[in-house]
Amino acid sequence: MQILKRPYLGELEMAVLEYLWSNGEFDAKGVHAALGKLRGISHNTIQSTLERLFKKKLLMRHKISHAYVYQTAVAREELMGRMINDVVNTISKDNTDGMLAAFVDIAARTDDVHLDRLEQLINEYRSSHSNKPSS
Amino acid sequence: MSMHFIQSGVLASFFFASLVALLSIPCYQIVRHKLTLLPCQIRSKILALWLLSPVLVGGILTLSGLLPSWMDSHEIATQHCTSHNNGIAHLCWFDPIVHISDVIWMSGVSIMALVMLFNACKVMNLMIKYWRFQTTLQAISEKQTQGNVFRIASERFFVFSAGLFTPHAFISSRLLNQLSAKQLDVVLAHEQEHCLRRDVLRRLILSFTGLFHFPGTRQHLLSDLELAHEQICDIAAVQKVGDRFLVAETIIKIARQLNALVPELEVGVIAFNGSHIDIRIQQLLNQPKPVNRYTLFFSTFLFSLILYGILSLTMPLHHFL
Repeated sequence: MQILKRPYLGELEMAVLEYLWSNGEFDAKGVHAALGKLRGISHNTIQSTLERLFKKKLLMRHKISHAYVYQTAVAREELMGRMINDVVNTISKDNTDGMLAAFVDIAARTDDVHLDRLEQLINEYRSSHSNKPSS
Repeated sequence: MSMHFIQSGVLASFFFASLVALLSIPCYQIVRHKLTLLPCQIRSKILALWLLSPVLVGGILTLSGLLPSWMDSHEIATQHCTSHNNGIAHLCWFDPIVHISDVIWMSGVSIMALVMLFNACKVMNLMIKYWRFQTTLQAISEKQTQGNVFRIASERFFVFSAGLFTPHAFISSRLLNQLSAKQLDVVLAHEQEHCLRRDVLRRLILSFTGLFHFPGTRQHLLSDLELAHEQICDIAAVQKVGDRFLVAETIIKIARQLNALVPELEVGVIAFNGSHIDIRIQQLLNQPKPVNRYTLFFSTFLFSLILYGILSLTMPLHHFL
């Protein structure tokens, strides 16, 4: 199976990114006050999440006094676009390993002539069905 | 419980499971076409049982074969066999093999344990990938007002359901805009049926239990099962919109749009799965025949007879006829 090319982002990482996208730059203490307390998670967890996002090059940071202040390195639309592209590539190359059930096989291609024939068959059935007197 | 009991149990399980897998190759080739004539709900159950059969039949035959020995060792039915006088429970006809050499046994068991560990790691790895894929989908999609449906902002055409325990339907914004209200109802009813039935989870479990089958048979069984699942969801869509022709037309419309976007060059390297569309359309066009009560009765009777036959093999299985 093809693995998503972008670094995987967990639910907390996404929440931190969403917060920084909406509210600008913050240090770990500020993010913890906004997200950590609500979720009942420690300052250390927020600190390590910010560190992970920085290593994934999704955040930038600069030091003010003794604390790092973090801001996003990519725009929301850009990251979402990349993630959507990765998902679309995964599903359209038939590498899903049964991860999904599609209405019509996304990775398949059916001959257009064949589809024309099937469409004609549907029309024939439809017209013969509508011609039948209702009992 | 003695070591011999476990050893003969493990050996018997693998032997019977392999025997079922081996017999499945010609048997499935013979009945495959006839199976396609059955209603998809029944076919899906038969295919699931067939995928489970090596594990299921292997397990039943092993337990059945071990039963006399177990009963003897627990003094429920004593003296069934003089070879049990030493009080050690075992499966008689596998016993000589068990006694060949401890070194061979240990190496065999170690190899089997390694293979099972490898498969367990693969399962874990796949589960993590499934979970990550699902989390990514949730992150990039927006919930729609209609049920468990999420929209993904994309210029491609796709609609699918994903997720093991809490599956959701995902649809691209482009497809959402291009479908009429009725066609959208068809697509969403189909996908929501997949979600209700937890088809992705079902298929995952059956693909693992079907590992005892030979790769060719397993692939055919899984592909036929996938078709049966799609047909069941097509029927659910027909029941929702009340027009089987509309469901058939929607399938054709989406297939056409996919064709327009799948580049010709990629065709050689991606699966050609168009035959499923044919069968699905044919099922939708022809009115489903009601299941004959007598057929159902005789099938149940035959299944009970086979089960009784297996259980009556207890002693012959224990002593090898």
